[in-house]
Amino acid sequence: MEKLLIDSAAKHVNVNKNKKGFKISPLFDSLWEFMIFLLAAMGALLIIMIFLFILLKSWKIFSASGLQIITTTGFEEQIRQAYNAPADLPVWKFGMLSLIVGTITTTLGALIVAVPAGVGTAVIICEMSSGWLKRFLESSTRLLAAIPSVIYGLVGLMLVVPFISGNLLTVEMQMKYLEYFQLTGNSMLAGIIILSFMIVPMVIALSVDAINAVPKEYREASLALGITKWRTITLVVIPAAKSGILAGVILAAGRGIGEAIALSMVSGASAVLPSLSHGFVFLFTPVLPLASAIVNKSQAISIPSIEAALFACGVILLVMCSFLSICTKIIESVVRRRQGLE
Amino acid sequence: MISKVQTEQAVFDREPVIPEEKTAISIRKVNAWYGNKQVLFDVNMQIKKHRIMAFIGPSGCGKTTLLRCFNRMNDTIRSFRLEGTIKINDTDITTKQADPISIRRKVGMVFQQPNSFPMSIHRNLKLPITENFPNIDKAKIEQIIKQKLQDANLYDEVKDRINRSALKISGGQQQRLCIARMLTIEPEILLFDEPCSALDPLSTNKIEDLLVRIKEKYTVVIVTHNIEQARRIADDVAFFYEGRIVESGTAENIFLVPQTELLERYLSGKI
Amino acid sequence: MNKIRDSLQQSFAWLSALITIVACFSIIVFLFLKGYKAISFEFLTTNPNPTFQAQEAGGILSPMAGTFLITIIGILIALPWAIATAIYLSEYAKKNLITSYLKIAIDVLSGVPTIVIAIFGVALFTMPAFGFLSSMIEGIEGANKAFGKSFFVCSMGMAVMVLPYVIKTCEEAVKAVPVSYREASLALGASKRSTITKVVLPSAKRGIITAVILGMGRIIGDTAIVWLLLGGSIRMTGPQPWWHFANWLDTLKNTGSTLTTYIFFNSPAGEGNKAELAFGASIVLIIIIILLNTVADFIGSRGAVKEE
Ligand SMILES: Nc1ncnc2c1ncn2[C@@H]1O[C@H](COP(=O)(O)OP(=O)(O)OP(=O)(O)O)[C@@H](O)[C@H]1O
Ligand SMILES: [Mg+2]
Repeated sequence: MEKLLIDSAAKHVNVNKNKKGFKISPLFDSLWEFMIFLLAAMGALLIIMIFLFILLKSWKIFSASGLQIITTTGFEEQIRQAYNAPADLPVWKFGMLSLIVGTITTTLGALIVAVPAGVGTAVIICEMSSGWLKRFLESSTRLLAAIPSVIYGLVGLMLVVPFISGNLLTVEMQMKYLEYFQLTGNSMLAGIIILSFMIVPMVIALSVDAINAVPKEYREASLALGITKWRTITLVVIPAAKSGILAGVILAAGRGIGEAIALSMVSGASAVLPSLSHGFVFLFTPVLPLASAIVNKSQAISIPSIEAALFACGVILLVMCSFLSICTKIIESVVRRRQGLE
Repeated sequence: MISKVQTEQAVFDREPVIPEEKTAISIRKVNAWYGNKQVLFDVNMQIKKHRIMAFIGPSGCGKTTLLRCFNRMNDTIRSFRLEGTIKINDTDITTKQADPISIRRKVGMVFQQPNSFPMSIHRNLKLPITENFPNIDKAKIEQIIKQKLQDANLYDEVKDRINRSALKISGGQQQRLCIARMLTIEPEILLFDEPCSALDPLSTNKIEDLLVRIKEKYTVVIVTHNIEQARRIADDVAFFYEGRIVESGTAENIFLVPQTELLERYLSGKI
Repeated sequence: MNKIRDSLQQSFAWLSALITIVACFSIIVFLFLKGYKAISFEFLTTNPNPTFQAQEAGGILSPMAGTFLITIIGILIALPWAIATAIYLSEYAKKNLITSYLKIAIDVLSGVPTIVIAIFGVALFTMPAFGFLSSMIEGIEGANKAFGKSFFVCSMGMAVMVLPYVIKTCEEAVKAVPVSYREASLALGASKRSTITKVVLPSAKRGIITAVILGMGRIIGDTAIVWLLLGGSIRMTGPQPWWHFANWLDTLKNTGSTLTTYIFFNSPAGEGNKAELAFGASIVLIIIIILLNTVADFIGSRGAVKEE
């Protein structure tokens, strides 16, 4: 293989030498390098462009609402007003607290389910199974990761939502909460269930990588100390893999925050602020996460103020997700340094 | 409950036993394979209590394989297979009924590369104690940790940074930490697989001193490539060649009057 | 006590593994049970109609074509861009602030939700300067702006979306090429460019193909970008017949649908609300994705065997 390549390189060099008389080659080389730098620079500038564009588009919302955009509620009502407002008197003030809370509760709920389950599955894949079972688990995980979100939404809508409305909700409950919101199966709980299945493959995949990266020396050291296999896993392997697992968790959180389509289908599509004072009905509150709001209200995007409001949702999303991405990097390097790996 | 705690504590308060010539490990007709490849052929040997036994021989001759049989570490290698008997305290440890966990508690091991866990020094030592003696109290744990660090000649060097990462101390210090960690579970037999191969001469000296000092309390088996090291510390020596024991006996006999040509050539560095 | 704790933990781990398998299979089985009736030769070869009559709803020919178009164009835009960036990162980048910024920028970009990329596309491609990619419309107050929805626009959004993943996979592939290959080539007097194009890239070919397939899988599965950059109409809106070669440029400058928006449209959450059709299209989509994954696996495993 290597020899072959060297041969082909040698052949190529000869060709080059023949061409040298024309002096095209150096010019072409620098042009080629210039293209590479240009494209790389474009990639680097992309994230800044995204930030600038959507911030500019939503600037009026932020300047009119100020901090109230993240401290007040009333999004549904404001959208309605903006829709009906005369063109010369647009509504620029929006309060997105309920959207932000909806984003956080669905994502957090899904993480609470998916992280232990994902790490557990990863442990089974890496340490407790072999042969066909292992391959089977791995391909199931990969398939689960590859299923498009719209299909998760469809399954949620046809399976999870009817289950919730048929088995978990009663007419009395619906009557009791009618003054706050309509209790249908479309709810935070449905969102959490669907989102859990969507993010669990990420947690599994990154945990598997992290666990496989733990040197076998640690396992041997622990076993040789008379510690059982399972305790070795929980006391030595998982702690040694924790930075990788944490990276997976954060990545999964980012996915949850940014999930638009599936959640817009199952989570209720109404910007209610979930309140813990409702007891367990908290879970049945219909919510509208930021990302779903953009999908949900996009029919009205021709109205400039609504368009700006949706861009504002985008800005908040972007800030949250960029923060998470940067967190991963920081945590990674901190943990590595603390473990003395650097 | 109470009696269990007492016996556990009693383990640590044990007086050093007066050395007596008794067999710690008795190996009979051991053959071993990785898959189809046989790596040990008909090995017979007696390892005496409270002495240092050194395994020497060229690379790949099966020293590590035999050593790892003593604490069933080869169980982790799927293709490994063993025939023959290895008796520790008159019980055969190679059978299915023998519990590898309790064997490993009796037979500690230090590996070629220092493998301290990526945690603080303190936690490295505390973890095996709490796992093996679940009913032990806090003060006692601290006492054992200090004791074992002192036994391993490490206490003075790390006492100020006992809560810092164990990966941030030198290789030699880490290897001594691994020794201290092994000692916390109070094994009877200590296995060392080339413990000094990654270390500088000074650290090597420290570990050799340590081995000579602790053989009062334990039985030591060490694999080494360093003939000088074997000369310095070993009481008994076994010479391996291609999966067989060619010669074994007391250190004086092996080094002063080698019986076979193979050993002579090995000692003079020709193989 | 400890025994109970350990066996509880173990059962939990096994249970979660079991749920993963069961979930995966029950989703697939559920889709097939619900949707197999919808699938027929006609379903695969006719264009959809937005109608309330189930009989006249038509099939998924143009959504499949839409998925195909944005996948191909999207990857064609993303791939050279990604390879160039990967080459820059592995062959040219020095350890300095600019490089570490570039790395962080790519990381952050890979964390950006697709819906945000979609609205970025809306912001960018409704600018009049980009009207040639879709069409010009009269805005309010007579101000001209671009329509901002078309196959071209959507493909570009997709390219931005997959760019960070394709860069990462390509970079890994390029970095995996042994230094000795490069040295051999450079020692023979080849320029850096020809070393890269004639030695490094051919050796990284398999990794790059994997990157392409993974990127395609992501594009095929995405809905948010299609929803905002291609729109909600399920028919091809360009001049008919849309597949005619005289119309291809117009088709690409107009809108249509993909399998994902078709499913969304026909789900109870969309306007069409014909679940059986949504399930039928889901089966087709899942099969495409499983095929792509299998191909990627096959390439990966064959590579692993070859290298041994
Ligand atoms: N996990 C394994 N799988 C298959 N073969 C192995 C494995 N470990 C060791 N072997 C083989 O078994 C033989 C004995 O190996 P062993 O590690 O016991 O040698 P050694 O005497 O310790 O050598 P060294 O001095 O280099 O450490 C060697 O031929 C080696 O290739
Ligand atoms: Mg060895």
